[in-house]
Amino acid sequence: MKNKGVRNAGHTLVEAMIASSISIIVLAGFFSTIGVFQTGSSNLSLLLERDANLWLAPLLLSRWIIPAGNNRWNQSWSGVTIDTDRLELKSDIDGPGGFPDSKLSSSFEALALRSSNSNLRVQSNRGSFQPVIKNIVEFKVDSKESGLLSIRLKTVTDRPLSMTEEDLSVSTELLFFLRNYRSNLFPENP
Amino acid sequence: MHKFSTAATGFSLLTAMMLILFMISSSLFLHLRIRTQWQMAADVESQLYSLVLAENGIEYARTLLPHMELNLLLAGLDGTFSGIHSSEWRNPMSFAEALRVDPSTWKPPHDDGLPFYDGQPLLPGRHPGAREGYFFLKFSNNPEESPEHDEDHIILVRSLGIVPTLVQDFLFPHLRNSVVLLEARFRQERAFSLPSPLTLLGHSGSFQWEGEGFSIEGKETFAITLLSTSPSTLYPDLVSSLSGSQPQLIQGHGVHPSIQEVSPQDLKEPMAQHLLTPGFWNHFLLQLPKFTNDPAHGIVFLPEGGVFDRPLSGILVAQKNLILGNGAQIRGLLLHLGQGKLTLREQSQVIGGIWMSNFGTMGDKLKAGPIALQVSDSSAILYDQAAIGAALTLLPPTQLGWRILFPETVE
Repeated sequence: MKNKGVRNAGHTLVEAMIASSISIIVLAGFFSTIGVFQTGSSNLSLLLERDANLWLAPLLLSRWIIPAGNNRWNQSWSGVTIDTDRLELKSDIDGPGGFPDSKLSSSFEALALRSSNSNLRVQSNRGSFQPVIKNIVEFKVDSKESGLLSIRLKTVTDRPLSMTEEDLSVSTELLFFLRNYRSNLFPENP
Repeated sequence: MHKFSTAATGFSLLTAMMLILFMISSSLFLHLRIRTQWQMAADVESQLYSLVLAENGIEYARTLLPHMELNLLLAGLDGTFSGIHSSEWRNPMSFAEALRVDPSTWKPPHDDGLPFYDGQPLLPGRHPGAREGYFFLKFSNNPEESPEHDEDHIILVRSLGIVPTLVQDFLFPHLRNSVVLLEARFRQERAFSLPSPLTLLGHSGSFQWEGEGFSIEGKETFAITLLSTSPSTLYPDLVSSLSGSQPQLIQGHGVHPSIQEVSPQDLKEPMAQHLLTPGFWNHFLLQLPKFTNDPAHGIVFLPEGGVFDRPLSGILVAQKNLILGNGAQIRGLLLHLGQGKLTLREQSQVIGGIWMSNFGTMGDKLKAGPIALQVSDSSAILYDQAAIGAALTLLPPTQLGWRILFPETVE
């Protein structure tokens, strides 16, 4: 009976050691899997965030750029002023009663856009530049032809991705038709 | 042995449960992440699509406008302006309603400002896009005039693009529509509504009338209208050039020779005053090549003149010496501008009206010059308001403004 107990005790110790080893391996695999998943998830988030900036840009920019130059006839200002990395837009779109009043005093009637510190920034009237889309490292404006504006955006991830040295910047070119610069057969102010 | 098996089984079960829990939570996390991204992308896409639809509405309105009688359009199909019903009466519907409405079933509460043709509404409430989405139009008079009556030919059109929510499930059953409201300000062009079959502007004229078989027929109107700028010898030059029975061939308004001399300021059509502005013609001739085409119907521009010898329904604009050959059958408008001579050869015919003018600028003022016209035997200039009206529908409306409206800027 005693010999049987000693033999069982040794047997249990070996089994326990084997079980512990297996547990360590299982747990190590478990945490490694979590680590890999978290890294992948973090990278995916960074890429999605980068792409979301590019999705958002056409919507925001089209609302600001397309109506530029509204009610510009006989005004002292130019509707669109282009510098290579800066765009100024003026549009009389509002006033008392909801109609243009030949002044640029309402919000978003005089805008300036530029990229600085990896952010696309907008300035409304005499306010300061405020970031609207982040991680935009390049903002180039070009007027391809009358009434057509080309904007080139380059965006990067918020920080480098883990476990890769690849350049993950993405560039896109957006074309905007300036609706108030459409040719008219007859003069606007005859 | 029994105790060990129970412990190992428990440990394995715990590990398996942890793994299953991890996999489920990971899947849920990924699902929510992907769903959020998908919803964001769908929202941006539907917002952009609603903008495109609203733009389509404006372009559609641009094509309709030359064909519309504006006061009838403001009153709608029932011929009665129903009044101002709400603060957003210029919009097809209010912003609040547009965000929640089912656009596939919505119907406008009244017909004011909705286009119609031949007794039928052109847009019976909505216009479907290529994908699920709709645009709605409404015309209204410009705020400088009363809402129900137009005189200056300027009109506003508002186009509402609505795209129903793309992402709907049991968690978010009633998300709002994507809505964009655009406004364009157009002026319908009626400057070329000529008062006579032959309208002349110049300080003097050289006229040649050949034979006694030509015809200038004004019917209810004068056959020839002279827009005299001071000093002008246009009228005596014209009268002295006629001989024999030729005065009988210029008929209209019950008299012959049917000639009226008016001051340019006395023109009935207010927009015709534009014709007396040098800037008007400078802009018109500069832009004209972008708007011309060369089919049997349309706007044709001959800056170097020449011989025109084929049928045309539309508008012929010419400079320098222009000869209408035997085969010229113009139905619409002929505008002969600047120095040069207009010659109508035998059998040539203009049904509609002719405008001839020659002037330059002296500062901001008009400086008229001589004009030259030769009318051959058996040629004809016949006044036809319907033909002129059809030609005017070829002229695109002038766009005076284009803006996006937001709820806080809508009146």
